[in-house]
Amino acid sequence: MFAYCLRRILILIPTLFIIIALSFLLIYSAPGGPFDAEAALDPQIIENLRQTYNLDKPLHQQFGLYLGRLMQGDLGPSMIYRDFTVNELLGASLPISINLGLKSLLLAILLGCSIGIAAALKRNSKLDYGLMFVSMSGIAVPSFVVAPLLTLFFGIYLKEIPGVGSYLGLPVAGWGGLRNQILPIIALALPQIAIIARLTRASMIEVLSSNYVRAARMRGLPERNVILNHALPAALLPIISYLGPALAGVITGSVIIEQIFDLPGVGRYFVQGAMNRDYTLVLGIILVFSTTVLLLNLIVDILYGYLDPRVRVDE
Amino acid sequence: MTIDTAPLETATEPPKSQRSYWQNARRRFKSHKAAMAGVWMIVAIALYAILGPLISPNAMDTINFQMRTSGPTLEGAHWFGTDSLGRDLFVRTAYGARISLMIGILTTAVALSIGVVFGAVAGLRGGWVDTTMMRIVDILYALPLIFFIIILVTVFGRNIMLIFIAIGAVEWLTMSRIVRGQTLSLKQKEFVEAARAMAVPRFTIVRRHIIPNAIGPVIVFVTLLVPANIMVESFMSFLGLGVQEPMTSWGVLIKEGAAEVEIHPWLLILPASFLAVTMFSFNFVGDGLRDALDPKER
Repeated sequence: MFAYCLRRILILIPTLFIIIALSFLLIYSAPGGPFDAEAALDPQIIENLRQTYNLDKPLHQQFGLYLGRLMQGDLGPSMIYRDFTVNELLGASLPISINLGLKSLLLAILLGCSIGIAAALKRNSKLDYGLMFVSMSGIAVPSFVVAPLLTLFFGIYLKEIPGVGSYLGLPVAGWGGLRNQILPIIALALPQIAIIARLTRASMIEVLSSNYVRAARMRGLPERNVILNHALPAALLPIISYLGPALAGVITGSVIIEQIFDLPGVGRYFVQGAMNRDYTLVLGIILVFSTTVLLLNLIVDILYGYLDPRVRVDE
Repeated sequence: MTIDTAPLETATEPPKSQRSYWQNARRRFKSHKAAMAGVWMIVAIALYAILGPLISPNAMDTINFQMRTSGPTLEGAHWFGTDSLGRDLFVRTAYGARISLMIGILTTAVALSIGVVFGAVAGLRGGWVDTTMMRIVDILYALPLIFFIIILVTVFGRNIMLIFIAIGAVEWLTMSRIVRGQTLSLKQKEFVEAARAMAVPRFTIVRRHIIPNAIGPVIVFVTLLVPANIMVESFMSFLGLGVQEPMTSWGVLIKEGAAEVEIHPWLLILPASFLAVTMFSFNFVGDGLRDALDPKER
């Protein structure tokens, strides 16, 4: 087990290197640059700017410089947001994205698993069909449709109800207390709730029809006991392996949700940065996101091997 | 497929055991109500995409100043209403359907070709080739791929062909895993070994034995990849990185509608419903195909 963990951790390093190299090559080999918008600038000034940011050097040298700084934990200066380093920008925006993402993920896991289990226990009933139809809608209706509709309903229609409107209505933008967070969290979590619910249902149904659950029932154990102690732990295992993709999904969704709800998170910086060719900012964000997803995948794989000894084939 | 011109009146349906795998699959699929409904909905939306602009007297980019942000009305034949510039939403949604469906299908075709070739080569070659190729897939898998699509598109311009290629080039990973898995398991089957023993060329083995037998899961995945890719395109367009004006797609229309949802909700709801119905339909068809092609599951 220890050797397996070590090998997985060691393979992270080349993986990250390839990711950085690939993104670096893509971004830097593109036509145009971060100072294009200021077309009125004197060529000499642009040349000076390029020198300041080391853009005049050959690509491999730039890459070396970038890696060197990266080793010291420095993601470099932002090229569009002057006077800010990428570290500073991320330091200000990451907490917001993490806060939003973690809460959404938590909500998605709790609700998704509950819905899936309920549907599986009442398999082929009206409840099952209803829940699965709703969760299919969660997949079919994208978050960028759900979010405006939520704001319309909670932010405008409910607010107009005299008397209760001020309690029921929710703010539709900004980042302050929990009330501001409710709508973005729901909008971000919905697709993941839907996917997790479907996964849980499928896996629960499989487990419920397996031999050892039948054996547990045959021994006369109470149904409650069979489900909670025998079926549930096994049924939730695949959900753990979905955590990595779920996080990736939440990160992707946050790009849109932060845009719609005007949240100063990382996702918004990414789109802005990509459009304005803010090389260092885009690279920094990709690096942070990829590392997060890779680390979570690593933890999930190790945890999975620990929980389910059958998958430890690599040893 | 069917031969009913034969004078043999005694030729009834063959007994169950003689029906081929594909005939059985077709029967199972046809009895799957949601999947059949999905097929008809997709046909209807495709017809709307093709015929909609021909039926309507309006053009997609004509501006009707007198009727800006009108609700659905018969006046001026604006059956779905008009947007904030007074352009007809019925026609624009149909054009959006053309673009979105085309993107869904073409990107899937790109992903299919890359994924099948990559997976088949990895599976057939085996050994270190397989290990290396699958490591590459593993690495790419770990990335939030949408970010790569965003970079590809921002970096190389917002050309619609580029969006096709970018989405397709990124979405082939799962396909290659499926094909590789199928190939690996088929490779060990006796009939492939027999073919190899008879010195059948490698390419012919792939064409005659591997592809026909591996195609089931691939078809299922393709039906699920089309809506996923339509969604990716809408996502990009919503961010302003996808299809550009004056062309439109469902994502662009949803973006425009979302900006005015407070006053003119139909601008959002109409295109969004088309998108959602398409998503539903493809997913139902995918589910139906899975049940039909792989009866072992569920």
